[in-house]
Amino acid sequence: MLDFFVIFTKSGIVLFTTVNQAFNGVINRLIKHVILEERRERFTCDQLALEYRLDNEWELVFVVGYQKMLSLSYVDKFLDDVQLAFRDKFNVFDLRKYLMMKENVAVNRSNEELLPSYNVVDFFTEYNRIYNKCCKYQQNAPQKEMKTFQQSAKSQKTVASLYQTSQKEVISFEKAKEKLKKEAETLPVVTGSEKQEERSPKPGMNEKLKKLMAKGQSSPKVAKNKEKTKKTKEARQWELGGKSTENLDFSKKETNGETSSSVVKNIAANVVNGDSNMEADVNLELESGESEEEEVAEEVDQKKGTKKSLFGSFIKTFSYNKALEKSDLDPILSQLRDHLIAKNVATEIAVKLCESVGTKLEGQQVNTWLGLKSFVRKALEDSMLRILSPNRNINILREIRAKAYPPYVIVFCGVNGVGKSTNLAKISNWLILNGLKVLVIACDTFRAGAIEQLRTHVTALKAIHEKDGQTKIDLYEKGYGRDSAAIAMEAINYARNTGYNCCLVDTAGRMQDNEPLMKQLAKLIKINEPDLTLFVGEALVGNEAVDQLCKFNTALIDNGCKGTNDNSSAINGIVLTKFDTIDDQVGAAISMTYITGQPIVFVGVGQTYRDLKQLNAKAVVKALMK
Amino acid sequence: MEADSFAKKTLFHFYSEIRENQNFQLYAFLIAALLAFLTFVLFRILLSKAKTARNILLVGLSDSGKTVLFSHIFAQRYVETVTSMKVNEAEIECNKKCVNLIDLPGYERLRHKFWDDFKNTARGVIFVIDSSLFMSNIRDVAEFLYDVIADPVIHKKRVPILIACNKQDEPKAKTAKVIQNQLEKEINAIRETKTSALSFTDEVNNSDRKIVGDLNKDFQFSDLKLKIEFGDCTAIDKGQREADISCVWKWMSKVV
Repeated sequence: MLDFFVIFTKSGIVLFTTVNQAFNGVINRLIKHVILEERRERFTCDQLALEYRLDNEWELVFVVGYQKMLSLSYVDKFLDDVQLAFRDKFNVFDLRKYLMMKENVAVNRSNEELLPSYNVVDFFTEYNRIYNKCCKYQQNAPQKEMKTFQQSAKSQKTVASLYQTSQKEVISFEKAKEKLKKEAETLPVVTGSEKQEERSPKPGMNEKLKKLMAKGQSSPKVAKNKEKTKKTKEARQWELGGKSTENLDFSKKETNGETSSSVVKNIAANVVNGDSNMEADVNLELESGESEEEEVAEEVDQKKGTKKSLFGSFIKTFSYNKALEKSDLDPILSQLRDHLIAKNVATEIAVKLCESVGTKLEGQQVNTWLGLKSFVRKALEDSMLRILSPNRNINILREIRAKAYPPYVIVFCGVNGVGKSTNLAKISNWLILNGLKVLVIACDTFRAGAIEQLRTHVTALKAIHEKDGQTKIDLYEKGYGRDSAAIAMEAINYARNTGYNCCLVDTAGRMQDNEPLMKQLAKLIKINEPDLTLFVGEALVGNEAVDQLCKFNTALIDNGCKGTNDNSSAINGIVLTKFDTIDDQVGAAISMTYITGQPIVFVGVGQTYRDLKQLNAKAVVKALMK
Repeated sequence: MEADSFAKKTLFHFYSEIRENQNFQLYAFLIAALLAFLTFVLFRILLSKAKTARNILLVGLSDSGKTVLFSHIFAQRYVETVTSMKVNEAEIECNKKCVNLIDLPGYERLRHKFWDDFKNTARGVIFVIDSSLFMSNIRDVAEFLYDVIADPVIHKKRVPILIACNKQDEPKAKTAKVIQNQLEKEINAIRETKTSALSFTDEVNNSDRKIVGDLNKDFQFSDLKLKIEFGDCTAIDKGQREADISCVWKWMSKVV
C-alpha cells in the first residue's frame, strides 16, 4: 500500500527508490518545510502523506509516501525495520565507494526491470522482504468487526422505554440500580484497590492488601459489595444535598485514603526493587493517592539518575567517540529549553525546537572530548540560525523597481498598539530616500485619530523630503466608518494612474479573536492582492506571539487569502518593532519566524524615522545563547 | 625579647620559603600553560595549512544541478537528487593533483551558513546556474552571485570563479552569452539597492559595505579584478542526453 519508498543522504543523493516517477518535488517540500524548519508533525501534500526517519550516524533519511486517507499502522515499524536492515547490510557505509561502484548495481538491476536505473545501492530484496512482512502484520492484526443488531444496545431496549414519563423514569432507574447491584456481585469488581490486587503479581503485596482490607472492613467480599452499592448511589448524590448521612461520615473515607496511600507506598517499594513495569501498569483511581505516587516515583527517578550520572560522567570523560542516546540529550536539552524560555521564546516553540534538535542528534557520533553540552548547543544554534535566515530573497527595493505594473502594494496588519503606523512612516521615509514615490493609504477607518496620526507623519515627511517641490509622498484617505477594502482599491487605482511606485496600506489594529474585524482584513487582502503582507509584531511579546500569528494566519487563509507561490502562509513577512526595548531577550524573533516560516523584513529600533534596520540572524542567535 | 625576635625571624623565613615555593609552582604552571598553548597553535596551523585553498566549491541556487554535477565530476554517473541538507565532499584528481570538490547546499536558509563556513578554504568557485529557468529566477541568481563576488574573502584571495550555465540540454535554456548580459544588468540594479539598504541590527556604521566595481560605470564582469569565466554545460546524463562538462574540466585544470 506504500506509494513509494526512498532512501537518500542528507547531502541530497538518492540511494534507493522503488518508483521510477518524479517524487523529488514532494520530497523537496518535505525537506524544506518540515525537516529544515524543525517541525515534527506528519507532512501531507496533495494526496500523499509522508513519514520520515533520520539516521544521524550515517546521515541518511528514509521516507515513505502513501495515500493520506489510508491509516497504515505499520509505517513506524516498517521504517524501523528498514533502517535496521540497511545497517545490517552495509556494515560500514561509505557513499563515495558506492558512487564509484556503478557496474555492480547495473548488473543486478537488469533482473528487476521495475527499478529505476539510478539506484546507487542494491537494497531491493531486503526492502521486499520487510515490506511483505509488514503487510502481513497489518492483515493479521485483529480487525474490529461490526456489531450485529442483536449485540447492540438498541436491541435490549423495550418499546416502553422509549416513552418518557416521569414515573417510569423512576421505576426504570430503580431497575437499573438493581441490575447494577447484580452485576456488582457477579462481575469482577474494578475498584481502585481491587484492580491492583488482580494485577499485582507479588504474593507479598496481596497479603498486605488483604491485611489492610481486614483492618478497614471485616472481610474483602463484604467490602466489594459495600463499595459497589455505594458507587451506584454516589452517582446521584449532590454535594450539598444533605439528604444522606454518608456525606458527613468522614471516618470511612479517611480509612479508604489511608489504605490507598499505603498501597502506593508498597508500589513505590516495588519500583525501587526494580519492578518498573508496575508503575505503568497500576492505574490508581483514587485521587488522594495519586499525587503521592508521583512524588515517590520522582524521587526514585532522581535516585536512579544520580547514580547513573555519577558513573556516566566518569565514562563520558574517558570515552572518545560515542553515539548519542536520548538519555544523554534529555538533561541538556531541557536545560537549553529553560534557557530559551528565559530569553522570551514562546514556551511551545522552545519545546518543539528542542525536541526536534534532539531527534536530529540522536545516534550521531560525537567526540566527547569536545563536550556534549557544547555540541548540543552548537546544533541548537545552527537550527535557530536556519530558522531565522530568510527562506527567500528579500530585497524589497529591487522588487519594487522590478515590478512590471506599479504600484507595489504593502499591507501592514497586527494587533493594537504594536506600532503599525509608526513603522509605516519609517519605511516610507526609507523608500523616499531611495527615490521612490510613495502613497500612504489610511484604511484604519475605525479608531479615532488614526487618520490624523498618519497625516502628521506625512506632513513631517513632506517637510523633510519635498524641499525641491516634487511630490514624493501623499496620503490617501476617505474619512472614518467606510469599508477599508474599497478605499484601498480606489487608492491603488489612483496610484497606478498617477504614477506612484509604492502603496503602503495602514490597517486598523485588531485582536486576533475579533472575528468580524479579521474577516474585514481578509477581504481587504483578498480583493487587493498585495505584493507583501507584513505582520507587525512587537518584540516584547512572549507566549502570546504564537496565538496572535497562528490566528491571524488561519483567519486570513480561511477567508480565502492565499500565500504567494506554494508557501502556506498568507502573511509573507514580519516587522519586528520595539526591538530597542528588549536588550537580549530576543526570543520573539524566533517565535514569529518559526510559526510562519517567513522572514523578518524590517526591525524597528527607535522613535525617529531613521530607526529602521534589517535583522542580523547571527547576532540574534548569539544574544539568545548568551 | 630575643626569643621573640628569633621566633619572628624563623616565621619570616618560613613564610618567604612558602612564597618562593608558591612562585615556583606558579612558574611551572605558567610554563606548562604556555607549552600547551604553543602546541595548540602549532597544531592549528598545521591543520589549517593542510586545509587551506584546496577546495573547489560548487555553489548556486537550489535545484540548479550542483549535486548532479558533483556526482558527474566525481564518478561520471547520474544520480537522482533531492534538496541537500549537508555538503557532499570528495577528492578528485585533476592534472595529477588532488583537489577537494565540495558541493554546498543551495537552499536559501542553508546557503549562507555553509558559504561562510567554507569560503575561507576556496581555491576556486563554480557557480552553477539553471539556464532553463534563468529568466524567472534571475533576481535570486544575481543576488546570490553578488554576495559571492562581493565577498571580502573572495576579493582578497582573488579566487577564480566559473559560472557554469547548466542544463543546456533543455529547450528553453539560455546560452552563457545571454546569461552574462542579463546578469550584468541585474547586478547593476542590485548594486544600487545595496548601497542604500538598511543597516543590520548590530551594525554601528555601514561603511564596510561590500560594493563591487565602479559605481560611476555600468557593471561589467570584465571590470572586476576577479577572474570570472562563463561556460555552458550539461551535467545530466540520462537516456539520450549526453553530459557535457568539458568547460568545467578545462577550468579546473587551469585553477589547479
